Amino acid sequence: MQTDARPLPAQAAPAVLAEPEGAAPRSQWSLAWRRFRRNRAALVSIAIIVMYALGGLFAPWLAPHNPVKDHSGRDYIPPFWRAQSPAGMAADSTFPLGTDSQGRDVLSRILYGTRSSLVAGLMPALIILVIGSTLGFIAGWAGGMTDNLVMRTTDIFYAFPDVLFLILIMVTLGSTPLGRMANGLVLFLSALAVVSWTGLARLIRGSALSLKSLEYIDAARGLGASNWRIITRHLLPNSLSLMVVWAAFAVPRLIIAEAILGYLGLGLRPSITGKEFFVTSWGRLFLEAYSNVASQPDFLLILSLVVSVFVISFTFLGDGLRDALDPRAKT
Amino acid sequence: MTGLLFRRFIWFFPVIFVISLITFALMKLAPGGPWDRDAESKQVDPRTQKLLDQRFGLDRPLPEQYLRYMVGYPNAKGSFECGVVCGNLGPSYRQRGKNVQDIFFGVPEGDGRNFFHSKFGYSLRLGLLSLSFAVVVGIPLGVLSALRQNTSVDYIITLVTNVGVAVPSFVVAFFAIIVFAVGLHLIPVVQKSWSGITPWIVPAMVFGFGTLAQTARFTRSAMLEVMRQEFIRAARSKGLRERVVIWKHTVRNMLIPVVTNLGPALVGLITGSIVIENIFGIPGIGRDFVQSIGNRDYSLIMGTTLLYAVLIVLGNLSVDVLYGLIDPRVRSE
Repeated sequence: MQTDARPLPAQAAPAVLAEPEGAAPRSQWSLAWRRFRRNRAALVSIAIIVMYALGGLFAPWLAPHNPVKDHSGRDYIPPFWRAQSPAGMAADSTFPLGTDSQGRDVLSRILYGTRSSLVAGLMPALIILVIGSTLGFIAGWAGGMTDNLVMRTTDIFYAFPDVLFLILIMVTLGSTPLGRMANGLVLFLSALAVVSWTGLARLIRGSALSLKSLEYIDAARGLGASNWRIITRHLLPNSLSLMVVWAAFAVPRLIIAEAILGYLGLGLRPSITGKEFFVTSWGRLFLEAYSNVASQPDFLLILSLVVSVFVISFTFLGDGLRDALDPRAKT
Repeated sequence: MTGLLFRRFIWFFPVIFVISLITFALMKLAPGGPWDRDAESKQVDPRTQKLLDQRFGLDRPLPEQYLRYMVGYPNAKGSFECGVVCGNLGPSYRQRGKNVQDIFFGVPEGDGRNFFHSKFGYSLRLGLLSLSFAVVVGIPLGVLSALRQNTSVDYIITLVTNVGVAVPSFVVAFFAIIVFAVGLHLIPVVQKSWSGITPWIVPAMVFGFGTLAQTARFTRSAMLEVMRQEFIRAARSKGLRERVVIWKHTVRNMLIPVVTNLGPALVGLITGSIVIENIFGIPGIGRDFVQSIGNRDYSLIMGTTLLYAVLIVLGNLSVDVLYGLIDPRVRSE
């Protein structure tokens, strides 16, 4: 009977999955990739997101002008499809998307803004992934008092008005040394992470709880595996798909949070010299575009389109990932 | 059911306690105080400042300040001035002679002014109008989409709701302004009067759009789920008319998951109002929040945070109650 406890030989796997004869054994991820590939909307979304990422990454080379340079007397130039702006300026081919109220090139500013907004979306997502899933695993695996403590804390944060809290942190700590670090990025990242870790922690705790009751975890424990080993080798890989899907939906939310704060004048500090990494962000641009909406509605229109296409892509990507990674889940 | 509601209600107090504590700590961590002015304008005389500090109790140790604000303190006349526990949110530091609760709920003077003309009334009107719009349009759209599953009607509704879920009201608002204000000149960019229903149409539609999309999506999947059930087939084979099968048997059962998902939606509508009030210039409680932090108007900041937190907790609680009303199984637990 002892031999039964040994894992099945690898060759048995294709038979279980009813793969055609002679096919190489497939991992769960390659199966997921096969399902994902069939989702055309998700593939297009990936392409769009990669374009944004490249645009942000290579902003200094792609931008036709210096994003902070004021071209005096050349403000409110309309984008190429409009002959004349409400302010009476004619279109100019050196400024394809026009100029803003101070004569700065809109295309260049949007490219640089994309760069900071992407960082503002991705970095907190990574931080939250680490904090939230660690707490979730600990709560789900340990149970008892620890679980109670973590879950009650998430309950409190759940009732916390998060936009309010973000505004509060950004205003009160904005002028402290912490608030000045990296154009306010450090403070912004920590504030976002503190506000939004609860959802993921709950998700991961639920997953850990349901995995905990499975027999193979009992078997691992019976074989003398340590808690650390069980969490890293069994719970983590099995919750990874949850985390990936969570991230796909979290990134656009975080980017919008930055945009809202920036619009309220509280996000990243704009760079005046253009020497810092963070020149401007989508939030900042929304504020500038909205203040001058009467003289130049096209700037706001372009910006809204740029942001919408991005968040829609991320949502379609998230849907595609969810369908691919968890085929049983309903959409 | 009562037990569950009671437990939920008890939970309310630690939540408010922790939120008030965090808010208080953050405010006090921030440099500066309510008497500071811009660097250019005349500074407040140090002696005046000391007197003001004394009068508002800002010279006392921080834990005492917190207790005085939350519980109360004996005032100059010797009687007890009750704090937040009695619903007294304290005097505003910037708007002289006004308590924070008067700022939120006070009805401005004038003919025919009522509760809905207070700051809170404006926020409430925005939230209720948006929610009604989302429910009244969203549920029928979802039902229609499910009944016409895999037709072009279904595809169009699904596409629109997918976009609606993805694009936040913050961005939808800008599109609305470009189209309705700048393009078509139907509304002014900055609304001056908020009387009547007309000025509210665009903000409520913008703010409710995301909730609408989400409601329609949940409705559609819940409808499809219920339509597959045995009892629906039984109802049909019993010879009931299609209308009765759908409206009496399907829709009523589909409402359960839809209502539970209105809870988070409601919370989103409460907290999201800060931005929408800012963009459209609606004089609700959220519009001046950023300014009040900048002014270090401690009691106004605290009052706003607490009010929002109470609303969120009540929003979640009301969904639990609604859930019990719709689904008898919950009541018996």
